[in-house]
Amino acid sequence: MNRFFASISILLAVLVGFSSCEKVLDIDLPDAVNGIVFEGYIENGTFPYVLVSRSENYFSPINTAAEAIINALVTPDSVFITVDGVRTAMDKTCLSELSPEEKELALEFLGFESFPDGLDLCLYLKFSMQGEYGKTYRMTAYVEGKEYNAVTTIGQPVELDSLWYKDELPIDSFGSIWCRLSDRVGTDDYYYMWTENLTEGRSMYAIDGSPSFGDRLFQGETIEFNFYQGSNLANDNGNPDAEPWWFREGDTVIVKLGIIDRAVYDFWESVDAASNLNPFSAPTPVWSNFDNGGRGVWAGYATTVDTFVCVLNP
Amino acid sequence: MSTSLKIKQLFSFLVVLLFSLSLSAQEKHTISGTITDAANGETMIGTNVFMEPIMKGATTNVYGFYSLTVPAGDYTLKVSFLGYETYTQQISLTKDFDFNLELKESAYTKDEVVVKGEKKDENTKSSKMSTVEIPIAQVKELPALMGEVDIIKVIQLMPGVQSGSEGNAGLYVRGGGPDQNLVMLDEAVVYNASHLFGFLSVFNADAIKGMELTKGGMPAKYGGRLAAVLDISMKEGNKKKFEMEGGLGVINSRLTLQGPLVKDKGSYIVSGRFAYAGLLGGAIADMATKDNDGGTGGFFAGASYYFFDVNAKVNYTLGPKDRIFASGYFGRDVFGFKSSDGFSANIAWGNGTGAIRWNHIFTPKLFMNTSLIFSDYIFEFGAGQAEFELTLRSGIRDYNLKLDLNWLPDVRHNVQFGGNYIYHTFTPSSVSARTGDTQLDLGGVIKYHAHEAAIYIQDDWDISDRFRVNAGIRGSLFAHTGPFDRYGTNEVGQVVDTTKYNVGENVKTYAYAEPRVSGRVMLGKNNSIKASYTMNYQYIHLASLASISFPTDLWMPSTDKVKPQEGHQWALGYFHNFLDDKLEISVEGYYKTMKNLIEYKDGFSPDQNINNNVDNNFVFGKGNSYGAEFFIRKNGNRFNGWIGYTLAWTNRQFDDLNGGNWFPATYDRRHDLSIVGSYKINDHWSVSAVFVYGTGSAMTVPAARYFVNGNIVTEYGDRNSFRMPDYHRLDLGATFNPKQKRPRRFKSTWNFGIYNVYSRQNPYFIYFATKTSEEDQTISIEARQVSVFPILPSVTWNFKF
Repeated sequence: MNRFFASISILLAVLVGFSSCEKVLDIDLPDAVNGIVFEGYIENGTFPYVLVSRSENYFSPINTAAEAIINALVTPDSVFITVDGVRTAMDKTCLSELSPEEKELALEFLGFESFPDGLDLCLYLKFSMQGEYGKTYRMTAYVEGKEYNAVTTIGQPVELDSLWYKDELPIDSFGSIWCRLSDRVGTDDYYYMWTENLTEGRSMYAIDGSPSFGDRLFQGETIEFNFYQGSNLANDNGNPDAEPWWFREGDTVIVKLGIIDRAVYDFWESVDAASNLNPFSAPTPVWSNFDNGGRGVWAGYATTVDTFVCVLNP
Repeated sequence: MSTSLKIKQLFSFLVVLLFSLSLSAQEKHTISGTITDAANGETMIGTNVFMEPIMKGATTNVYGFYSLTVPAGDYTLKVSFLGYETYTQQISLTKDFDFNLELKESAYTKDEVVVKGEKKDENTKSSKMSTVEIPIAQVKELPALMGEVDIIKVIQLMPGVQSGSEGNAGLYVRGGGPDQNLVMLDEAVVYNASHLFGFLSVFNADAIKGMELTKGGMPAKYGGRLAAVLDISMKEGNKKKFEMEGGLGVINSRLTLQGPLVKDKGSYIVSGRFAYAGLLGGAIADMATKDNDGGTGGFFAGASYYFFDVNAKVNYTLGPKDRIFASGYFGRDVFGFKSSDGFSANIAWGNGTGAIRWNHIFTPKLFMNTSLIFSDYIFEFGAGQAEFELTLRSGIRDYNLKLDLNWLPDVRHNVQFGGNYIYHTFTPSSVSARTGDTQLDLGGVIKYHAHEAAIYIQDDWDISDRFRVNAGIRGSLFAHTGPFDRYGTNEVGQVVDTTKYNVGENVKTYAYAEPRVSGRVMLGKNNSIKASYTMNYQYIHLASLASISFPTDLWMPSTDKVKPQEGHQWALGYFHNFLDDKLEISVEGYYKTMKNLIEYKDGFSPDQNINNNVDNNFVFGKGNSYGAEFFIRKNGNRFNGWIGYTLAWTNRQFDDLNGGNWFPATYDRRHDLSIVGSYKINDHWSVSAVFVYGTGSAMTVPAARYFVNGNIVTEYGDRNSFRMPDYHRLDLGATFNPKQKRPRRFKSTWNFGIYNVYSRQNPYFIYFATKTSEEDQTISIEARQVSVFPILPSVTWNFKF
C-alpha cells in the first residue's frame, strides 16, 4: 500500500510541478495622467535640494535609470523654501556647470555610481541654507503654471545605544548589523535607515526592504533590529558575487538613523507597500505630502551616524 | 414608496392571508407522514405526494415530512420521485391518517435511464424562482479538476453563479461577494468553504444528500446574507445495512462508513478525506512567489501541505412523532514552509461545526424542528526569522438556537414560522510578536461580541390553479455588546482616545423588518411567469485584502462604525417545460442594489489593525448588479445536461476609493456560458463534457511610473479598468462500471477525466516584472500572465460494499 501511495505522490508532484506556466502578455494600459513628481530632501547640517520630474507611461522604454530620470526631468519656473517666515529662492544647478571633482561628489550625493557621458542633470538647491533640528520647512514650487506646496519638519535626532555584527546566512561571512535603540517615551517617533558600505565603495542608500518604521508597537521601549545593505536601480552594478542585502565580515559601514515626520513616514510606507504587492492585492496608491496633485515627497531628516566595522563578537 | 409603507402593506397582506385560512368550513382530514428510500432508509427531500382526482399535492420537506389536508372523501394517492417507482393507493379519508412510505428505486433498464432527484414540474409550478438544485448523482458524473468531485464547482456552472478565479471554489452569486452567501451544512454556517487556498471546497460529495442554492426570491425563513443561500444536507446513514465506500484520487483519499445503529430506527455515517501530506505545498508556494525574473526559485522549497475533513452524523427515531439528529464537520488545512535563510511559517485554517436537531410532529398539520448549532472558523499564522517571531489568529465562533415550525392548515397553504438567536464572537485579528527578549505591545486580543436574533413568518399560498404567492416577513436584530474598547482616531489615523464598554454593555443595536415576496402565474399547462422582491440585511462583513477569497479574510460584525449591509433584489422570470417536463427552459432577469459594503482603505496594511479597531481602517460604499440568465436543461433518458448563459454587470462606488467614481467589481463578468452534458452509453460506460466561457476578470493595472530614490514607483490606473484575457476551457470525463460475472457486494467504478482538454492558458493572475539588464543597464517592464492548470488528466478509483 505504501508503494501505491508513493507512486501516486510522484504522479501528483509531476502533474502539479508542470502545471503552472506563464507567458508575456501584450496589453493596452489605461491612459496615464502625467503628474509632476518632486523628490526633495533637507537634512540637518546639509543643504536642501529637489529634483522635479514628470510621471511617465508605465511601459515607456527605459535605456538606463540615469537616462530615464533625466528624460523625465521638468524645469520648474521657480522653487522657494520658507523657514522661520523667510522665503528663499532655490538655485537651478546643472551637472554640466560643475568641475569634474564637484560633479563626482554631486553624483555620489545623488546616489549615482556611474552616469552616462553627454547627459546633464539639473536640480534646484540652496548651498547657503543648512537644515536645523526642530525647524519646519515649506517648499513652494511653480511648475507649468501650477503652484505646489509641501511642509516638512526636521525633528530631534535619536542615537543608537549600541551596534554589533551578526552572521545571518549559512554561507560564511554574510551578515547584518544589529543595533539597540531606546525609543523616546511619550512621543510618536518615525524612523528611517540608511547604510553606506565604504569597503565596497557604495554610496549612502536607504536600506533594502523597509527603511521606514514607526514606534507604535514599542512606544518608549528598548528594541533590537538590524540594518541591511541598501541599493537602487540607478546603482545596481550587477556584481554577481555581492549578496545585495548582506554585509561581509570586515566591511566598514556608515550606519545612519533618521527621525522623520508622519507625512514622510506615510509616503515611504506607501512606496514600500506599492512595491510589495502580490498579484491578488488591491492596488496601493502612493501618498504625497504635496498639495494640488503633486507626487513625491519633501522630506526632512534629523539624522545621526555611526561608523562601524563588521567584526563577529569574539 | 417608503420602506415602512411597504412593510405595512405586507403585514396587511399577511393578515388577510391568515384570515382566509380559517374560512373554509367543510370537514377536512389530514394525511401526513415521512417518505424514505427503501434501499437505505434515508428520508427523501422533495418527493411529490399527490391526490387524485382533486389534483392537489405536497412535497416532502428536508426531513422527508409531508402533510396534506383535504376534504373527506375517496382518493387515489400517488407518491412519486423521478428515478423511483411511483406508489399508488386508493384511500378513503374519513379521519386523520398517518402514512409513512418506503419508496423503491426503479428497476434499471438499458433503454430507460433516469436521473435521481428531479422533481418533474416543480420549476414551472412552484412559487420559488432563482433556485438551483443539482442531484449529487449528476455531480459525480461530470469531469472534475484532478478528479476531485466538488459540488460547489458544479454549482458554478449554473447561470448567475461564478467562480472567483481559475479552480476557485468560491461562489459569486448575481454580483454579490463571497461573504454574502449563507452557506450551511446541516444548518450550521460554514464561514470558509475552501480547502487548498480555494482550489477545492470543504464539501465531501460522499457525505452529502442534497443541496439547494437560492439566488433570489429568498424566503423569509433565511436571512443574514444579501446574495444567496446554499443549503446543504448531509446524508443520514444507511438504516438497513452497513456500507463502506471510498476512493483513491489524485489529491486525496476518501472513506465513508454508514450503517444502522438500531435497524430502521437509527443510523450513523462517518465520512473523511485526507490529502496526501507534503505534496501540494511546493507547487502552490512556487506559484505564489514568482520572483521578478519569473523564476520559481527555491525560497519556499521546504514547503509542506496537507488537509483533512471529517463529516459525522447520527440519527435516531424516538417514536412516531420524534426524531433526533446530531451532526458535525471538522476540517483543517495546514501549510508550512522553511526557507534556506531561516524564515519559517505555518498557516492553518479550518471550520468546525456541530448541530443537534429535534424533529417533532405536534399534529399531522404542524411539524417542528429545533436546532442547537455551533460553528467555528479559525485562521492561524505563525512566522519567525532569526530573533523575530509573530503569531496571528483570527476567527469567528457562533452558538445558534433555531426553531422552525411548518404548519400545513390545508392543501393551499404552507406556513412556516420560527426564529433564531445567534451569539457571535469575532476575533478579527489577534497578533503577538517578539523580537529578541522584547515582547512587542500589539494590544492583545480584541474580540467583538454580538447577539443576532430573527423571527419570521411566510406562507406559500396556492391562491388558485393559476396564481400562487409566497409572502413573508422577517424581523431581524443585531446588537454589538461589550467588553469592547473603541479607539478614537484623529485625521491621520492615530489613536487619540479610548471608550470602554463593559461586559454586556450595548455598543450599538440595529433592528429591521425584511419583506419578501415571490409569485407565480401559470400561463398554460407547462409555462409560467414568476416575479420576486426581497429585502435583506446582513450584519456580518468580510474584510478582504485580496481580490479573491482567501483564508486570511477577516469576519467583522456590524459595529457603531460599520452599518449592516442592505440589499434589495427584484427578479422576473419566464419558465417553460417541454417534452413531458424532460426539457426545461427559463429566462430570468434581476436587478440588485447593495448598501454599506466595506473595503479596506487605500494603502492599508495588516499591522494597522494592531492596537486599533479593525473597522477604523474600513471605507464604505454601495453597489448594484443586474443581468439576465438563460437556462436550458434536458433531463431524463440517456442524455442529461444544460446550457446556461448569463449577461451581467456588477459595479461598486466608494467615496474614498477610485476618486469616488463607480468601478466594476473584480468578479464583474459580462458574459458567462456553461455547456454541460453527460451521456450513458451502456450499463458500463458513461461519458460527460463541460465547456465554460467567461469574460476576463476585472483588475487594476499600472498606468504610470516615476522614480524616487532611484527606484521605480508605480501609479495605478482606474480601479478594475482592465480586463484579463477571456476564460474558456473544455473538460471531458468518463465513468466505467466494470462488468461483474456474478452479483457481488463489492462494487468499484473508475472515473477518468481530462481537465482543460485543449490546454488553454487561462489567466490565474497577471503581474508586472521589472527587468534590469546587467549588460547594457536597460530596464524593461513587462506584463506576465500566470496560468495554473494546463491539460490535466486524472484517474479516480471508487469502491463500495
